[in-house]
Amino acid sequence: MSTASRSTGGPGGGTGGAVAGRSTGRVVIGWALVGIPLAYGLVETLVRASRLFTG
Amino acid sequence: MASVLDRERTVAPPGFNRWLIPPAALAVHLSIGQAYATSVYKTALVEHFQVSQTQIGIVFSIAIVMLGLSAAVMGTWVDKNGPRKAMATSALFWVTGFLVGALGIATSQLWLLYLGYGVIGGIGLGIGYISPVSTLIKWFPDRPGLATGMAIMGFGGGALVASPLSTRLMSLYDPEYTGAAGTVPSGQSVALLFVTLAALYAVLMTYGAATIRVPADGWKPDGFDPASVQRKSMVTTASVSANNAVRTPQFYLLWIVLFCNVTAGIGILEQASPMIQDFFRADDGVSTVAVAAAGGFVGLLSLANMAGRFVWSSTSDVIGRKPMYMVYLGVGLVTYFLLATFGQVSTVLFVLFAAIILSFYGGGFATIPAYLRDLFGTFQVGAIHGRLLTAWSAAGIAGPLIVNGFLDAQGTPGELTDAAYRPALYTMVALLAVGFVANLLVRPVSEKFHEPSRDSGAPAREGSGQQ
Repeated sequence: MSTASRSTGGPGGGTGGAVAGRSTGRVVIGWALVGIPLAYGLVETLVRASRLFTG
Repeated sequence: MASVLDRERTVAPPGFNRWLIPPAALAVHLSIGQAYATSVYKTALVEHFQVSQTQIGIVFSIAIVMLGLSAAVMGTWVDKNGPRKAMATSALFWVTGFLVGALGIATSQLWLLYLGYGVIGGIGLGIGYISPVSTLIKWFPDRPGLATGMAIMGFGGGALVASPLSTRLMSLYDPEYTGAAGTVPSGQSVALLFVTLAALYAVLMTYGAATIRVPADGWKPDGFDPASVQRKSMVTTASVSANNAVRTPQFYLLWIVLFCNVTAGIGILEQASPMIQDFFRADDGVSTVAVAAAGGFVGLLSLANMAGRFVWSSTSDVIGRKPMYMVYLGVGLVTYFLLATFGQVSTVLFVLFAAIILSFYGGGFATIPAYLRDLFGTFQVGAIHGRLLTAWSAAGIAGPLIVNGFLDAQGTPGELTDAAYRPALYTMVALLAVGFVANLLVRPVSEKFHEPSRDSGAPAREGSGQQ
């Protein structure tokens, strides 16, 4: 296995605690940025879809 | 001079977390997925420009045709220049498309809307759609179906976000528009909506472009053994260029597979709301399904479409790509037949059958990049994917033509019954059968199409990590 494959490998594959912590923070922010609008869209669509059974 | 957008400036540093890549890809796909939310302001544009539904519908058709064309033409450029430059270019076109479209609406120049949203925005759609795909496959060699499923799920999710958001924004810009049936937003509110969406998507897509990275040479995930993937008979370790790929029968078989699957899905999507009302009519001819419930049915199909992209594409990592498409097309064929023949028996059955078909429609989109990776390798998979997306453009024309052609011959809209839909639905069953056979005929690509010079390129770089 190459050095590169180890040093950048896997989730949170950092070389130190600080790097790993910073990396995890960026992952949380990234997923929140796309996850919040997506969750909004899902909820709105679920409400709309529920009219199939109530409307 | 090297730019921050160049591929060499986007190589991931040590310690980079690959789970940052899916949200970067999702940021782009969530933005361009707005394309499927155009129905929200369609009536407003019809009234604003005083033209027919068809003349406004052309805007969407131009965008989808441009998507296929730009993905096909620009695919090689995307692979060569890397995902960041591609995402930035996509953002530039997509945002400019909205702004030019807004100018067209504000000045009542329909041709500007065609040029802006249709042509310029359509180019942004095509480049944006393929931009993260090959990068995701390289970051997730252990789970390519899951990775591309996440991104392409975003394209389905984009409409889920844009649709309610657009309704709220238009009611904000036009207080007389409440979003309720019978009220129509003004053209100016749609123009303001376009400007707002342009700003939002500029931010979101810039985040995606800034975050995306390509893996360093020789990188592989911890604990991943490439041999575990290479042992599968339908997964190649070789490289096939985009130019060679279009000379293989496999490319055209997959083109047929995608075309048939998408056309069948569009057959339901195109008519979803009137279809469920027409299938369930009382003796007096009045539908037993209310307009609001029909709207709920459309929402449910959107969810099935989006869920299918993620769930079925991830499943393909376990059962393999070819068997997965046998499910999409084979089970889809049977389900389509049951819908056409027994759909009118109960709304629960009708909704269930339609949701299954739409989940296969979404799954078909999301699984195709991984299927291409298996057959042609990771080298230029983005370019090959781009060329294959012409099947989507063709299906976007063929699907509505088949459905509307048959329905026009059956009677007047609003008075149709379930029987009127059968010829169109049975045609889709036949189309799925053609796709099923095409998928059965897919075999590994002949060695004569492999790139000898590239064997020491992308695949070898991946393989070097295990030595």
